[in-house]
Amino acid sequence: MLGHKSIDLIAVPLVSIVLMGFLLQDGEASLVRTIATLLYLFVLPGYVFVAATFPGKNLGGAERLLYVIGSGLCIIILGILLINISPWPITKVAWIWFVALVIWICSGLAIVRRHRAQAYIERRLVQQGVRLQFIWPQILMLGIAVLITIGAIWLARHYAQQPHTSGFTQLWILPVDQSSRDVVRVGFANYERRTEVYTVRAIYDGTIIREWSDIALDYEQTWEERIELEPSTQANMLVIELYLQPNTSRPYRQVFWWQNLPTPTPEPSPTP
Amino acid sequence: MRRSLAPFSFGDVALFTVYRQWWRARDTTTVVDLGWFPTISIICSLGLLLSAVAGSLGRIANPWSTSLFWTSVGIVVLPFGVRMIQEQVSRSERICLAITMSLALYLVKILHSPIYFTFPDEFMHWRTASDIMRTGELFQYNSLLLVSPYYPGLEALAAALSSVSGLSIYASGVISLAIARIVFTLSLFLFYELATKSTRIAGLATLIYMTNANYVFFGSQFAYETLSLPLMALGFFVALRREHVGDGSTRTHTILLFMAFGSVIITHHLTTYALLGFLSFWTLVSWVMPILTKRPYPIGPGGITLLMIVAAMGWLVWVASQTVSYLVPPFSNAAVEMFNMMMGESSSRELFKASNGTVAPLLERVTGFGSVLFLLGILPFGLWQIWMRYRTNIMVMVCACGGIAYPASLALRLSSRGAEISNRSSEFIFMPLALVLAIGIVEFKLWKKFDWFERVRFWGFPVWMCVVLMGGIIVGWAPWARVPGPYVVAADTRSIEPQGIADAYWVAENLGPNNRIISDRTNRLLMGSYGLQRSITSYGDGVPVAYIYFAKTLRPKEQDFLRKGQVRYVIADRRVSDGLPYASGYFERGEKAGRDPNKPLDPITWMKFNDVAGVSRIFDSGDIRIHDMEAVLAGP
Repeated sequence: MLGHKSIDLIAVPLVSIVLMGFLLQDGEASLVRTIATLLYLFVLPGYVFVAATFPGKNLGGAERLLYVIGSGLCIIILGILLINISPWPITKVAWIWFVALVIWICSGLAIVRRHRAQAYIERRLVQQGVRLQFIWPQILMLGIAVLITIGAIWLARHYAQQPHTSGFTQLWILPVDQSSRDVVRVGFANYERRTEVYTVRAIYDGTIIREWSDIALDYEQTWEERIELEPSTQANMLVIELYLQPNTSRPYRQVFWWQNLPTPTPEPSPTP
Repeated sequence: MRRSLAPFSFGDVALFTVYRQWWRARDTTTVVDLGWFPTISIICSLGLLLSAVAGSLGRIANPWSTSLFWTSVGIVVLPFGVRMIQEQVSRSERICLAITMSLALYLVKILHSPIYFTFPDEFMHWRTASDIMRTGELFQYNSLLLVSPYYPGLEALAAALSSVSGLSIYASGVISLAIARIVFTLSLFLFYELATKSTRIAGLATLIYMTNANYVFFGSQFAYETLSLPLMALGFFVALRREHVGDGSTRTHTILLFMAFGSVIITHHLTTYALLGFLSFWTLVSWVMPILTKRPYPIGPGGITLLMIVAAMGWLVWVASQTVSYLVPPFSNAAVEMFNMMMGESSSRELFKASNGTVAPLLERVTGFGSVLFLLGILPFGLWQIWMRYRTNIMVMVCACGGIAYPASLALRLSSRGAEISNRSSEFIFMPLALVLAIGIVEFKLWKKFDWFERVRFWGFPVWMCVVLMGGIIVGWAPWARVPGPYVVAADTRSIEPQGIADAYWVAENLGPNNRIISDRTNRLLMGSYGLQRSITSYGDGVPVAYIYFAKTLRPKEQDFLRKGQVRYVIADRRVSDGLPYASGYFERGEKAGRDPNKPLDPITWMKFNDVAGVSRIFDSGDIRIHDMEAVLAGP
């Protein structure tokens, strides 16, 4: 049964085991990992599924390609329902084991079914064997087309990442602990696309209580400090002003924090 | 060409006997001639390069970007039309051409948004995919699109690819949909080919399908319909092939058919119902045709249809029951609008006019109308040729009836709600329509003395296809959304920029997930997706968000609404007062009643939150501020 006809069906589970070992390891996204994932998720399950369901049947190249990729997509889509009703959460490990099971089961089925269709296959192998010879200038032209397309994608990505608008700085004030409004953390992040120098001023109940000057921050760098307020029963406000040097006359960003929560009593105004 | 036998001897090992026979059979070498395909690929890639340049110029508001965009679309599309209309083209070349054109048009969209998603629907599905990866479970609440978690097909692909490969959801989505595109194109080609037994008609029909109004942008976005259509097309091909196979593989085709249609059911609601409609009609025609023609026909997909109806209804009732309340209002509103229009109680929608009053340029209007006229012009010829040559062919007759639905769908465009339905339906209606048109283009012949007609067909088809595609883009996609550009107010894809994205990530990191927030439409998408927040809306929660924002002070009434929605944070974007909204509103659809439609919002509308005692401003990034409403929630 495990003869020459089933070499591919033996190879696929073996390849899947190698890929499993690779993909189960934690790693950053890379071209190799992406290709391995695509092969593992979308090609191998579809390949063995088609081998199991159409053993030696007369499928043309285009039809086979469609069935392999199409069934590969369907296996993943329907698979999420099976994983969801299983005791395991939908994680990387669950996906890898689910696909592995599909590959191994379908490979086993395919070996059995192909064995039964042996005579048919042998006849077809003899009848349909052809050698494909490509015209190399055409392959070269296709290669050029692929390179130009990659260039187009690179160009679009490059210009999309360029700063076309002015940068910005985020300023925030948040309680350190949700249970107390007396201790807050104040921070800001520089997204101005260059190193900037800032001044931070904390004003409590109209009085400056802290000031941090000449804070130089690189692009995408963050600064954060804690401020502890005296416990109070009053509805006092802590105002944090951020100045972008050299302009220290007008706050660049401003946030404020109510130490205690008064009932909001806004002025009535006409309906818009 | 004769070639030597195997380069090495297998000896007498029995195991290799068959291989030796096979190798000998390979003596005949087949030269793979790809015809014009490599040349066309280079031209197409140059068109894509130009599209990238157009987008890059658009980002710096260069006025040439739009012209370059249209030129690039023409360069991408025209060569495929020129080649596909020719008779002496091999099947493999036609397949390569069709797949390449579909991927090229997909790349036009990717070049538009090459580093992150920018289309509104994409954020909705990003959230569902993110929730699956974050919680490890399906069916989490998604305030951006309530039904999205109940149709997790697309998100399954993206989550699987992203979690195993380590790629972002964006990259995983782009790759998954590119694979789906290949499935779609191959399915369509093989389906048309099997239906007509003509690779030329199949190639042309596949190309014509790609000219539908939504193919380039809407149909390429990271949204459930983009995946469900390829799965439906795959199912159609398998169903048709199942009726034609004579090698005993009917049962195995049935398995694949169930997988494809089952995937459609858990991927997209509307596609499921379109699929059921098509299968039902096919079954009906399969029953009627033997009676009318007195000839034997395959039994039709009656059993499959019945099972699919049961499966779809089961999914709707037990899993995705929210679909009903999601789908019914748009259709009922469109019906009411159309009825009122016919009764003369309301005026029809002004075509080619944006919600901020901008009117499309004359050339665009002419192309838009021209594309519709071009389609309507060929349709009668297609129907005539079908009657003459294919009237005993069940599938072609089914498609002919489907093609007739196209003119009917155009009437819907006169109402604003109907226009959206008409626009969305083009991806479905073009499946049968493309076949009818391709048959009309290929099979229509004049008498031999009119030999000039062949030249007209040869040169006319690429131009015709180009106009239909461009007209489709004009009709189906807003002018400001076609090419990337600087920020504009409430303009969906054009309002997504780094500050909003960074702020949303800050919110997710510092405030935690699923806080109840209100915001304008752009920040709702960002905060609801990257920010992992729970957006409160009028349609989802009954809280009149626009009303709260339009008020000039936060009076007790507005505070009551905030308490009703348990809104913890309010996002105030100062840019809403910079101009009129490009899309249907600043906050939500139907908000116009609460504001002057000709004036931008008063800055007081977003500044008022500063003046409410107890309401802390916890975040400020210049344009976007976040206010903590804890004091309001604690109020009476």
